[in-house]
Amino acid sequence: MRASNEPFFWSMFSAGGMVAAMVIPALIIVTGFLLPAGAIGFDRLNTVLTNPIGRFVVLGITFLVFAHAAHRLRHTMIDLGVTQFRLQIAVAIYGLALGGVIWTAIVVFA
Amino acid sequence: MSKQYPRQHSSTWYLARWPYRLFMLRELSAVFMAVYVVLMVIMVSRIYEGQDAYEDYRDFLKSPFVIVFHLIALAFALLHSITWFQAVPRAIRIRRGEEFVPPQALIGTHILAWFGISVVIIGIFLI
Repeated sequence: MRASNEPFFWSMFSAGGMVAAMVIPALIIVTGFLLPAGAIGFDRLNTVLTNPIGRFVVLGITFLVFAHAAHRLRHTMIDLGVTQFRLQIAVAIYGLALGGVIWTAIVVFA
Repeated sequence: MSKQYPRQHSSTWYLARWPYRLFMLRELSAVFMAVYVVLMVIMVSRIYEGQDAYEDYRDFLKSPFVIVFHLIALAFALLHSITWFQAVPRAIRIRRGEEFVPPQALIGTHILAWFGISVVIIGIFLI
């Protein structure tokens, strides 16, 4: 049997799905609603997000959620009947996710 | 993967029944979460630029269109969380002595952890 890269992508999908399930609803409540409502001040946000742990958490969440979304989107397209150009679609979707992770790394560490 | 079988289903099979529609909505949740994360990273970037850049971004977050996006994204995120935790017993089996931990206990533990983590996240920013 040919060696497969599927276990790697599947484990990232799984870890990303778990982290997203645990943190995304709360983060949407914070940044989508509490923040525009004025419940959180700039100083607090700045303190949390300039902390080294905060920077790593932002990058980690981004990496895992993008990996999860890329994997799910790729398999959904197959379920929808897009069976041609599988390799090209995989490269495009995972490439987009990787681009997003690199962009986030530049934002949090540059 | 050597044989290609002809496709048996229509191109709109997922609209036919509610379980299929729910499946497709759940798959779509990943796209909404990814778009939300992009907005979150832009927010982080504005905060690093300073208070003026952040205030501009906060005005953007206040616009009705963005509020509606976050409402939809929250609905999708909740759908993802609930369906994900319900699927946990299919992926994890924990043995305790002779017996396996019952599926409902696994789901319940994850939902409790979810509530705890959510309270901590909101608390970190509010305190």
